[in-house]
Amino acid sequence: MKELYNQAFAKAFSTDAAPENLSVNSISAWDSVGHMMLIGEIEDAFDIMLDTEDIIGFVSYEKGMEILKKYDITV
Amino acid sequence: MRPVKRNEYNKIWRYYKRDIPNCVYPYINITNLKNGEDKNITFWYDENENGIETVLMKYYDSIHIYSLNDLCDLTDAAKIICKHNVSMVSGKSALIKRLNDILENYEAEYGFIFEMDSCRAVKNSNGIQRATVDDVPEIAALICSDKSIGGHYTPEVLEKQMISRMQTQTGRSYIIRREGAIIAHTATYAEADGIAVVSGTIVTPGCGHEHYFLISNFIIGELLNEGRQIFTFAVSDKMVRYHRATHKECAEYGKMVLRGGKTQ
Repeated sequence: MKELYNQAFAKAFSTDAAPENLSVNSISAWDSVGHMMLIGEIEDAFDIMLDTEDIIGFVSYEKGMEILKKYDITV
Repeated sequence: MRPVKRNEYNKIWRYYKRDIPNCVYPYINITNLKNGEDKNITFWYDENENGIETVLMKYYDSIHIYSLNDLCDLTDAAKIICKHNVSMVSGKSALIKRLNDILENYEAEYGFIFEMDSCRAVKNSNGIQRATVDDVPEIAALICSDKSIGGHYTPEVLEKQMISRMQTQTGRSYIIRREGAIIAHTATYAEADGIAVVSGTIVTPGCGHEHYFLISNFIIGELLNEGRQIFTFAVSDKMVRYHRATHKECAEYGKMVLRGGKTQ
């Protein structure tokens, strides 16, 4: 699961950097469009559809892990 | 090529209608022209033994070229483009590639057209306001601050077009303001019955990760609720990747921008 999660960050932001410390605007790629790309990758990776509040609340790598628990996904 | 007469609009409209994604702007404009003239829009066309071959539409300071046949004769089209010295020429990528070989004073770039056929629910749209003509100068300045979105426009030209579209109800804009300043914008750059083009979506860098999601899904939701087919254009790698992941790719297009801008 963690590998899928990390791959989603790597694909969304086209980076090989470790994603653990990433948060909104911590890298230029995680801007408002990058955010939508990340959400798309996460949804594809885990075959889920995030609620609007969760899309907006997905502001960091750590926070994303918490949100995914609501969808019975433990990273 | 010869100018399209008013009684020929239907013929041209039917020609466009067979391939809407590749000619969505002129299709919408000629649909709306059935209700009256617009001095900022001119059409030309030519025919051969098989029927219509090529159609040009001049819209303000740009020209759109369209032909179902990628190998159509471009000689007359190139002459008209040179004569009018427009800032931008757009059309199917195959046509733009050939035109750019003739018109080397233009720089070409290529992108994709997507159909936005779905969206996410925006549960709280409180911060999103419909823009008025009073907001347009600030919107135009914001759009033109980003070359990947503002493209060949100057703020003055964009303002004029946006105000005209708002007044004729062929375009609408939505904005989000924070501390008085516009931080997010989206718009329809063309609308007719059952169809719209979404463009000019921009969020001020560093102003929050959620605004692109909110404002773009808001306008898509509204247009889908009105029963419209929605198209959008993307050039940059990032936007193409985003739309590929989210929407339906339906055509390739190109645009050529006059090198160095206008000399006159």
